[in-house]
Amino acid sequence: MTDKDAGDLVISVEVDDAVIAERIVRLLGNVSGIRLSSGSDAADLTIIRQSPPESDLGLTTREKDVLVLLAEGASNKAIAKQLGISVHTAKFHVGSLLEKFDATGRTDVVAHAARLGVIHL
Amino acid sequence: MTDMTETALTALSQSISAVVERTAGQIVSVISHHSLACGFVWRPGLIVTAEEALAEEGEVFVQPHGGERIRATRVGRDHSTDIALLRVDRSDLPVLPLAGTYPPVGALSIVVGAAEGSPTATLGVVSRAAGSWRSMRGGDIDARLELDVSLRRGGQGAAALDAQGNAFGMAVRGPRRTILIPGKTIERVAATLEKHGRIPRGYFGLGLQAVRTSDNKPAAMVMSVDADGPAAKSGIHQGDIITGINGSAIEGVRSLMRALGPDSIGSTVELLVTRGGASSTITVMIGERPQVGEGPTG
Repeated sequence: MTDKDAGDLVISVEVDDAVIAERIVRLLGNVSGIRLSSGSDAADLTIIRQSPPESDLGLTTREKDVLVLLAEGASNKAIAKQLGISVHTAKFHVGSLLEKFDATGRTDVVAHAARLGVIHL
Repeated sequence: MTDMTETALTALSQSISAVVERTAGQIVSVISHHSLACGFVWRPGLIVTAEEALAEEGEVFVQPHGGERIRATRVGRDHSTDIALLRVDRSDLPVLPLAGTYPPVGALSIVVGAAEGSPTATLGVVSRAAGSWRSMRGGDIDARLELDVSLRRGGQGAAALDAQGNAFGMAVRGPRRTILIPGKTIERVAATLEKHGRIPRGYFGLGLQAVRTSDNKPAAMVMSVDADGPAAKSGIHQGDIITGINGSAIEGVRSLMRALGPDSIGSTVELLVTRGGASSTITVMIGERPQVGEGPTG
């Protein structure tokens, strides 16, 4: 058994939202075996808030790359060439983008792509 | 079942098979590298098929109803509308006339395709019939038509017929459903493909990023300039902010994309540009987007 196993679990709360941070501190503050980091001591783990995804469609990084090229009117072959992937893989990503756009009833691909990066026109 | 129902069903069945029989000769199967599709004779010696289902390279064969495979050549393809045009050395194949109109939602539609020289058929209803739309790749499609049929493997490019047996569209696979490319779109795109081998797209030669101006209006900032492109020739610089086109404020990068349709090449647009806080109008003559691999922007 190391010291770490024996001692309190030190948790640091680094949530930018003050209200949420305070609630976590209040909830965890009275739990035995857990000690909240005062800032100076090293924490065993840190509670952070995952930044919300950039796109509400939940696109993967690769899908975002493909989306921008799609908006420029690139063919599957051109997308494959540009991203260094196979045409088959490009087709797969395009298919999954179509699904995601269709599922949310969105049609303005250009507007979405424009939020993600530079579009060459 | 009553006699009357039986009669009605028999009549329906016979009508459908008659439509298929009448159309079969105008439909072909299309065989390209690792890919199977259907197609139809658009004009003598010219076959329209689904672009998505046509291999990019390698040999292409077309097999007409009851016939042997014929070698075909690619005339052109447009992925924005999913239309590809092939040429065969057989002007005797009967042409499938395309209707410029389409049946209303709920109407019956028979999809006639082909597999290895024999016809295939599917029956369904037009599950959606709405106005024109723009595909993900920026293709203008004259009507949003959907069918509640699932296409068999190699079924893309089949012809959709109405109850009278008139072809009104080409069936292709959309996300989770079968969509139809309307006859009107096919006529327009195939004619351009026959003439030019491709659907040209307009080009500014600019890398644009959507931004908001300090007064919170949508704008497009010039992040990169193709030195040989039309915008560079007109004096647009990196860092310029485009806020308007032809006298109207832009709603975003898409407003600029809309100005780049196939007919835009050679026309001029007036861009309202903010540079160092001062606005000015710059006239740009729209060029043609370089083909893949030719231009610096791909």
